Amino acid sequence: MNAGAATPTQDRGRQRRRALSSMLGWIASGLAFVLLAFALLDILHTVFVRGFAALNLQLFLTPTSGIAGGLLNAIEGSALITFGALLLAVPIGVLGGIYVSEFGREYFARAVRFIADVLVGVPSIVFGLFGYLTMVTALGWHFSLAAGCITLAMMIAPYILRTTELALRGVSGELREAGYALGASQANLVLRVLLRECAPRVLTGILLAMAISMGETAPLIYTVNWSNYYWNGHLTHESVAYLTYVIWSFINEPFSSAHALAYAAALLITLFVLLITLLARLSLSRLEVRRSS
Amino acid sequence: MSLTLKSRLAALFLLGSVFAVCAHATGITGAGSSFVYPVLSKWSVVFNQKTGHQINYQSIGSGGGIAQIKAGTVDFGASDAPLSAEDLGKFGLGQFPVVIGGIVPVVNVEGIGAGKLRLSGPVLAEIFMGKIKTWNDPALAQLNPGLKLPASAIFVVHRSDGSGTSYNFTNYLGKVSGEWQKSIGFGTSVPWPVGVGGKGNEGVSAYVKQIKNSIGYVEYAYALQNKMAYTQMENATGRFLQPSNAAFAAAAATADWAQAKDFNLIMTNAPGASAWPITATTWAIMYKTPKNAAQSKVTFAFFKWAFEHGQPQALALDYVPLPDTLVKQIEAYWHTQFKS
Repeated sequence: MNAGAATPTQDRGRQRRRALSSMLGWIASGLAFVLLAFALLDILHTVFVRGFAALNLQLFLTPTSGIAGGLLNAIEGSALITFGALLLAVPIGVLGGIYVSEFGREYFARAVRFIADVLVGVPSIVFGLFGYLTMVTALGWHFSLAAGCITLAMMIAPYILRTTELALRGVSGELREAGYALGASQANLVLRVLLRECAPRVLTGILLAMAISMGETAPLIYTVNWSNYYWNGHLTHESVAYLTYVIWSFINEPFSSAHALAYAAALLITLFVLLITLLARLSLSRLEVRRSS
Repeated sequence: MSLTLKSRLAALFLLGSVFAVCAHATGITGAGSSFVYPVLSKWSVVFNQKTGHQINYQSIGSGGGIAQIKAGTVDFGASDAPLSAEDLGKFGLGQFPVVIGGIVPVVNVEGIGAGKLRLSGPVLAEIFMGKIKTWNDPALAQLNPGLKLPASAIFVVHRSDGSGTSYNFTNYLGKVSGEWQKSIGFGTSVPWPVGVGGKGNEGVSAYVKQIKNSIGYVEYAYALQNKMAYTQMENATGRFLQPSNAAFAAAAATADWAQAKDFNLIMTNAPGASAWPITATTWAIMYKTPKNAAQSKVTFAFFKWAFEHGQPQALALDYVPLPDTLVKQIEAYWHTQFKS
């Protein structure tokens, strides 16, 4: 102990203060956790209880018939819209992410990153309005699958770009050096070394983008309209059904058959998003396992 | 490589769920009023079974329906408020009624069941202006001599969003109360002097069910389906009526449609002896010179079928089909006003 050190009594006081503030901190964060967990559990509880009560085989075999019937047209439409959006957004997002991380000049990469960040933050209904003004009206496609897919793709491509870029940047510099030292070209290095190393992270980004597009309503209200029927193969001029519309619209109808469909649709979307999130977690944890072994 | 396998599987799964049932028939799109959504979608299902044509209607609200038909993105719009002759002329549009429904006051007062409380137009207006503040107010007691009314304050619930229900409700209050007409007026949304707003009929129903001693107004179907205590109303001839499909039909039958240009007529406070005073309709709005003649033809065929054969579906959903005389006037209007 030197001259400036605290006396034992002062020490004890400080320790007590620290213990107290630490306890307060734990209580506060514990409460925050309980609050968040409660909100999630409450939502899941409502959706599961009411959704399971509304489930039956007809939902998966028949299309909606007015405010009753099944959900097959909406399930088909949601799958189509999500698939179409991913088809457009994944190549753009992944290739853009690779470019920004590995090839782009610094100022250009910074500009792309900034734009992507801004786009990720834009409310989805603004994308919907943009899609409506450009594709639905100006190009005259009317409410259609193409307008919906492109609008959603614009929304999720920046997200995929940013996660791909961050994944690539997370790969250690040594691996790059090792690759170059072995004579790999830049393209070879990216495709066969870097992407392979961070594939689970890229995949996670894509899966989460899929979950986002599956759960969106606002951009689709503006661009896809709604249909009581199956898709008839037209990309433009033909409205398509989707699950989130059923939740958004049918819950406001007076009839219990409509409410049952809305809850069933909510359950399907929730299960699907949970499944995707779990898949994403799993692929990330497998990365950790591979790293540590 | 586990990744490519996984992503291939994911792609396969998605492709597997992508299948199309091709039915080559004309697809019609419509958008607008949420009031007509249940009956329009029911009609379109039956019409599809009969003809193979597909009618798709999106319930986005009357304002949205007017905007979409003006933008030409849909084959027909639907609105709970009629367009003015000026607006119709400017865009080359025509409009006609589709179906009739009633709006009913609903209350949540202990001991007062459905159809028990009697209200008159002026009293209803004073409640929604905040002039009558308690349930045992002399004006209410005078209308309801047999009922035990509590001394509690009246809690007013109105719509927070712009709506055709509010349009017809405030139009009625304006017709029966000069003061309402002067200080508040009518429209899809008005400056409500008292109360809280609920979004949609569902929102108003939920508030009235939750809040004791409250009063609101909803479409008849919501009052029935939610088992709410609707009230009797005094109509234009001074009779107290229970809301019923017959009373809504009577209002439609006694309204003077022949004199109304482009069917621009609000049916509130209709003169018939058994006419419900707050009866409403929804108008379909279409281009007089269609951009796509084939689609326009199917749209007319759909409405013609609905007017002539769609009555059972409408009644099952608590709507009132248009009276025959009105259907004849509409069909004449189609022939003179629309090219197709």
